[in-house]
Amino acid sequence: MPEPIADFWPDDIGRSSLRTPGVILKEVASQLGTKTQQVVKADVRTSSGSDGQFYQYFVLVVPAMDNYKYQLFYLLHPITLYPLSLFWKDTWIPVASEEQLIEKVKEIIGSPETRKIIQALLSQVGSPNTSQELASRG
Amino acid sequence: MPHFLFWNVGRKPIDEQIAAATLSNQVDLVVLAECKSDPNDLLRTLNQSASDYEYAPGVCESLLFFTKFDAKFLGLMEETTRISIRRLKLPAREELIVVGAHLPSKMHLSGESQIFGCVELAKMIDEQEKRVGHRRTILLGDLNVNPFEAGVVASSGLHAVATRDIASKGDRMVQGKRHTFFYNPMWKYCGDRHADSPGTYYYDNAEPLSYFWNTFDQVLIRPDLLSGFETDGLRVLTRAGQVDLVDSRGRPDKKRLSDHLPVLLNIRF
Repeated sequence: MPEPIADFWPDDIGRSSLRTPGVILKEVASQLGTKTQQVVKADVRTSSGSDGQFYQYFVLVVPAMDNYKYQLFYLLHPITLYPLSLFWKDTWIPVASEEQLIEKVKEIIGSPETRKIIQALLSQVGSPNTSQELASRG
Repeated sequence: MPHFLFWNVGRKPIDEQIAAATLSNQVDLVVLAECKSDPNDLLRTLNQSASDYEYAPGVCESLLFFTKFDAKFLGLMEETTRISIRRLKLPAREELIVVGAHLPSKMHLSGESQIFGCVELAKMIDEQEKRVGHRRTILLGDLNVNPFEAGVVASSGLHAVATRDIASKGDRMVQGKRHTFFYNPMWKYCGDRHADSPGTYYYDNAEPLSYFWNTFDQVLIRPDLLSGFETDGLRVLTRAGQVDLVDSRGRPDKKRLSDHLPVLLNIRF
């Protein structure tokens, strides 16, 4: 009787310390609502294409405007996560690592363009207090 | 019959010509791309003889919407920097989804990225149509690709076909997935077969491949709305009121006005 095949799998194969790009975006998205009194929230939509790529869309959502959505940016990544491509302001930006992604997302959400968009949404809903609060945070 | 106008005004201060194109054609909904005018100033120009028009603000910075309808009937659904999807809910009429788009130009993106832009736009439209439960959708925009290019025609793109007959089938299955058609009546503006203009944008580049005339500015109509669209319900405008929009060679007069010609759609819904 042949001997059973040894277990070749590494002991730590079932554990992963990786944060996927989607998880990173979701963490960032979850922080917006508290800063706008839930008037403008952020969400991440994920889809997969027939090309084997995963698409992550970072969208602002305004529940009071019949769940109006504004797509701020999106990225696509392979199953191996990096390098990925992020699309913002009409430009494809290459992102090589988790650190670079976090830096880029920080830059986008802190940009004057994003601030202007969120303030415009707050104004549409008629939430001057929140709008001023956000502006005063500089 | 409601009239829709789309015009990429090319960052030119041509409020008078915009008003002339709008008023002379009794337009009900105006969508402008690359318009740097202050919306309030443009509104005053549109309303110089009668206060008919309202500005319908959105967050999308590339497009401005003005309407003869009460602006509250034109609700925002989803936007990006270059796309604005809205629902037009008029009393006693069936709801319409109106999509305005100004996709990036060939100067800024590769052909592959342009296809991807059309695919993304198609996905957004599909999602909103599913959300509201109908596909009564028109798209007006500068797609920066011609009607025959892959992003416009492919099933995973806008899936816009050249004939009413094919579009009327509604949809088709491709690799196990159902894709709804758009009808693209702009095909008749690819070339000089009729009196208006051979396209909407002229570009004479010194490369082996040059189309000269392009039809980047397009109107796409979902099959569910085709019964309200007559063949002559679409025009590329070469005049705005008394003003010629083209030069002596029949090309967009980009020195004085926009390098794009406006597109006028009349559709019953």
